[in-house]
Amino acid sequence: MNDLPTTVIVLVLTFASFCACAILVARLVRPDRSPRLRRLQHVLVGTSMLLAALLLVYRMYFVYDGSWQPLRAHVDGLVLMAGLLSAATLFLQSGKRLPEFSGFGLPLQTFLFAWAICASWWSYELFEMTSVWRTFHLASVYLGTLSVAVAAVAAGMYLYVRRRLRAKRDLNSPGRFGSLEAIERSLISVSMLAFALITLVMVTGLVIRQQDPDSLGPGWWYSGKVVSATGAWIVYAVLMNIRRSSYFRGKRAAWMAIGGLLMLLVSLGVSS
Amino acid sequence: MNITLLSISHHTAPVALRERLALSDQAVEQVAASWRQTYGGSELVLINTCNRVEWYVACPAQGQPDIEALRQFVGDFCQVDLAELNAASIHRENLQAVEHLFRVACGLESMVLGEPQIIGQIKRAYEHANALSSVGATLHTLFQEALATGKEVRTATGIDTGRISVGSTAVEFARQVFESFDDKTILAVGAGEMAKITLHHLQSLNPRKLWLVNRSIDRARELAAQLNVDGARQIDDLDPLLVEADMLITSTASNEPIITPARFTPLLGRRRNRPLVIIDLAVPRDVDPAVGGLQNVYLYNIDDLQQVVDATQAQRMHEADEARARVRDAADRCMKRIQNHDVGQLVRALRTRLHELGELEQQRTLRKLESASPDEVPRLLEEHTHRLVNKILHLPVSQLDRRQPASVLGFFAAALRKLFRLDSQAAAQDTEEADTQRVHSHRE
Repeated sequence: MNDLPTTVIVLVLTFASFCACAILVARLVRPDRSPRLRRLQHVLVGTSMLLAALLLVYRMYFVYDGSWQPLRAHVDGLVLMAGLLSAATLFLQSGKRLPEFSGFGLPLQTFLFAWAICASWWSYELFEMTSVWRTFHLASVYLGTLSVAVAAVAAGMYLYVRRRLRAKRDLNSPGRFGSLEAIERSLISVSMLAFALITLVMVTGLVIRQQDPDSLGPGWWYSGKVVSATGAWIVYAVLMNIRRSSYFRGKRAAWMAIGGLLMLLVSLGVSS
Repeated sequence: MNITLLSISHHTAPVALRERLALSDQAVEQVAASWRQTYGGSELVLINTCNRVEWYVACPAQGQPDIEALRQFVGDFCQVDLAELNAASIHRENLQAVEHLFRVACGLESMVLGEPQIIGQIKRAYEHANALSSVGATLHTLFQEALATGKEVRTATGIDTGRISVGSTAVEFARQVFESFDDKTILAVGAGEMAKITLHHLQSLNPRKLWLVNRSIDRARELAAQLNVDGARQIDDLDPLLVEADMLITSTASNEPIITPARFTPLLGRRRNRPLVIIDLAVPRDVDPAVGGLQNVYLYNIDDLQQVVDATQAQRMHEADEARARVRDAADRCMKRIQNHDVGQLVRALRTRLHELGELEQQRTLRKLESASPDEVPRLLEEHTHRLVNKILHLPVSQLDRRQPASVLGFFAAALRKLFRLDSQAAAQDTEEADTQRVHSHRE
């Protein structure tokens, strides 16, 4: 079991994200005429971002006794991911490119915070931080997963907007989720980041395997973990070059991004 | 202050008369100069758009110009017969005039409900009048409140949201697929009137290239020259242009679809699966509906566009009721503000005037007191009070001249009774006398 303040703060973060989600639903159901609801949603997302950052600092100085390594338990990684997602949501919401990114980003953020409650209270466990490579590996795993999740969110938005346009549904209301081209450009940008981070995950994983040959067991190179991680890596290598491909462009690219996230989750889920 | 409006709009006058009443900027300057000479103490703002000419005048109550004088001025200046002007104009006073301006600012009086251009036109008219020094405190308040209400009502009700023309709807569809247009090619097939209107809207997106294709190359060249677009191409070039295009507008008179899956599918590979937005404005349709089912093709026909336009109009009509209610409240608040400001100014002017009178009398009495003996002081003070009261009452009492018309005389008499509480004093005296009589009779 983790310390009580962490769990309480994560509970508060989950509640704030949930409230932001509720406001979002209210705004999407009834077109936003009053800027007050939008501002309130921004305030809640901004508060989540700041509180998540403060929680990580608190854990570094008070739970881990001033350790320089911030990611020593699963809850830390989840809070980091959700906090960065809040920052991304806030940034994208304030721009014109993807004005309603929160429509897809906020539910994911709420899910990550809710998951962090479980990781903090019921399944709390400290990682074995035997070398600096493990720290880099864990950081790239969490940041890579976040990038892949954001790419999948963008892919979900793409599919939703595309479906709406092709079905000629709600043609009277202008696209609140941004244009297909803007979503595709964002998908490519995030895929590049995801590719770089998954590459880092694989390289640091290989180094750890070299240092500790038993860490992945025998036949590690065809294990589910490594194969699915390699699959995700290939998917994002293709996605970042999607504009050069005539076959994968459009709906197929979006489904690939979602498939890449599933592959990465499989990779994280299996122990070997 | 009294606010008067003389309005000639598309609701009341044909375009031929509106043309005659419309004034250029130079003419407005002449109007302002002539207005200053004729009605120096009053304020004037002239709203002059293609659909309306409106004269807003603020002048002191009972002052000039009244509506007849205003009509005469407009008729003389624009050389329009007074009877014709009377028949084609509406006249509003005070709260009704304020409410009318607010409705105009919100686009509730516009030909296209909620259209946004009118607020800019009102702002320009106000600024122009301000530059010509024909705006005073009343019209400053009125127009600033009107502009603020116009913006507020639009934000609160969404009366200006949505697209109200086929051309702008086509642009909106394109914007839902593409983020920027500076690297896009737009292709128009057919040179009909509808294509012309839509291309005019699409030009505002500044596309990289805009090609026109028509069976008659001369007609295409003519339209290209009119719209100042990249150029006209022959119908034989259609396939290579379909590979290049990101957006396609079709409006030919062909009885058969000119773009079919058989024609377009082989081009998909050469297009590298880039998205293509097709707006088919033709009836019968130029694009086979099956083309819309191909990968990365977004096909819309004239019915889809019209559906959006109709839905927008219905939505705006629905919002108009709420907008009108907000306008009524805002107009009421504005009128009260103007009246309060007006009353404040009046009270200040009255105080200044009475103080001036008092000071003059005071100086006169002081001069007399310098050479007077102490016995004369009470008499001088009595004389001072008597003169001061007479001076103050001279102007109001002189209005009770029996030669005045009965209505005017009655108005001033009633005002004096009300202002100096003479009725209540008289009533109090009557009651006192009645009480005294009752006491006497009781004693007897």
